[in-house]
Amino acid sequence: MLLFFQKAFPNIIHIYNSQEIAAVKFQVFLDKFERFNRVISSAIEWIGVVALLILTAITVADIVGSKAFLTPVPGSVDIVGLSQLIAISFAGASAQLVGRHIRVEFFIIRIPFPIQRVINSIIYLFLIAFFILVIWRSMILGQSLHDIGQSSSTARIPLYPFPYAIAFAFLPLCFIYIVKFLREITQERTT
Amino acid sequence: MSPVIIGIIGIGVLLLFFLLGMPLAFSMAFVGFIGFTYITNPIAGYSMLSRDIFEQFTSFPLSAITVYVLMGCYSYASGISRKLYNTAYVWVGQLTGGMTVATVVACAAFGAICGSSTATAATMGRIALPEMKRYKYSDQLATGCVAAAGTLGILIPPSTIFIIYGIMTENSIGKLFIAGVLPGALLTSLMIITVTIICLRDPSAGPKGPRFSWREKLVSLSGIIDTLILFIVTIGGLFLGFFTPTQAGAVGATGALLIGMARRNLTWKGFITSTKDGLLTACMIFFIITGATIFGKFMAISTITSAAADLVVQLDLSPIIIMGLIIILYFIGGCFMDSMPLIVLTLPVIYPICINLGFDPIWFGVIIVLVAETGVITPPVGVNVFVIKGISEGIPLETIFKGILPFLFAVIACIAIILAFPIIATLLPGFITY
Repeated sequence: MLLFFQKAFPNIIHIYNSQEIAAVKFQVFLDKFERFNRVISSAIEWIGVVALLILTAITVADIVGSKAFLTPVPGSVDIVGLSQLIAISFAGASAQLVGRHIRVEFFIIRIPFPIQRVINSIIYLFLIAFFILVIWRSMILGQSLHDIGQSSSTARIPLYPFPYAIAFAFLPLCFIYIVKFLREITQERTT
Repeated sequence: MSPVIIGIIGIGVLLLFFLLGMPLAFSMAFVGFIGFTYITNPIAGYSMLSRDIFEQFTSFPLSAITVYVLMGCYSYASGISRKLYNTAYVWVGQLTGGMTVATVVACAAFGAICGSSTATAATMGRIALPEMKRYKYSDQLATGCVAAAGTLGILIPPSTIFIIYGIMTENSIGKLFIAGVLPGALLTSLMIITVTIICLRDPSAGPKGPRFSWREKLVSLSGIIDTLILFIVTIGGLFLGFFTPTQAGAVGATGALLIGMARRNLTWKGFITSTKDGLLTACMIFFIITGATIFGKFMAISTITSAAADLVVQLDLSPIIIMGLIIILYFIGGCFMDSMPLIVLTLPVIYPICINLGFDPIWFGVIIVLVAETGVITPPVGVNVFVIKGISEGIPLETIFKGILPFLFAVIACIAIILAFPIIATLLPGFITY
């Protein structure tokens, strides 16, 4: 019966083959993954916000302490620097999601769409490889700082967790480009 | 293959990635890492990559950028910008083209507490454009004026680009800040003259606004008190050596926050939104600086910087002609790239050349910031223009670009005057001893 109607009204009724169903399922999976990544990026952005406020508060407390009471906050320079690392790295993914990272667009938008997609796919692949490299090397740096027991110069805060924090914060940034890459190469099958 | 050739190929690949739409920060880091690894070895490349990211993100001098960006965001959320505009409007709004003059003056004043031209244009655009529309100002004049006057934000201290320039070239940030004051005042005057000429030629472009009594004018001056307090405490404290740049910025951010809370202008939602906005802007800047640092390491190891300096010396041209060529280079570069990445990317090559030629580093900083800033109002990548386009409903880009043209001449005139009279930029830094 369905086949009859499909033949009679081919523009209205379309029976999906197994390949098309798989492609739709894949897009649904990508949507879910993207939503999950947005939640993660937004959550870690809050960590960045807190770190930024700590950075500002410590600096002000240090001024008040040193100028008014002649007792600066011990290790304030270290705390400011490390808070800044947390603030900046944990905001990286959100900055990417809202399009804050500056790019030159006037040329790429003038290229025909199919070529644009090929270029974008290659660029995304490069970026994925680069972020994987950053994550991997940051973890190795964290491991080496742990092994030698290096700490900050004045506050004596162990430094090894911070490269791990960079590695963790770059994960959602990498995921963003993985989703972009997969969308770019699978777009045609579902549209 | 010689390292210099690898460096030249690296620059070519970088420009290609820019054109293909790869984010600027990631392009610089990626090409810098590949080039550095190719010239040295993978172990050195890997180590440089992770260490540079770690070191830039924890850099204490760079934390000045974070807090100054936050100060600008809190100042906007606290309603300080609106008060500034209202004061300027009450004083000069009744003149022909008075609202555009008020916008220029308010942009200059907001520049004294905000270190970003785009933020200044966006902030003042939201306030001034509806007012000018209400009084039937020409779209061309209104939008062009706001987009162009936004550039005052980067010249008048505090300025994020001056902080970056100071750190990269090891010059005093305090001296750079004070060096921007007179050129900023000069550019403000030139923009006011531009508005006056436009309105004298076509009075319908800027009709007169309502007239206010002297009492109202005097009362309106209370609107600049907040800005004055913030400016005197932060920039004054910095000039007097009472604060480091980071401390001055943190005091400014906290001050703007407290003003907003005391005046009941800053809601909890506004506080969160502006903190997030500041964080994302600072994040974007840090990623660019980190990318440029990695690329800079590649450029240094390729010896292309010294080769370029040698080449310029061999050209045997007079220093002023070379400076002219550099300005043209920045002007063209600014058309295609945002001013900050342009300066961060080119400074390691251009700065040693200028110092070798005997130019004053503070004066050169002012010139370069001013020239690169023209990029935010020139096609095709005029960031301020796109910001104003987003705020002003239904006004075509062409109209905004046409409106900007007279103000662009004002900026070029300002550059020419500072080139002819370097003392405009070097006079005030002479009074600072650190």
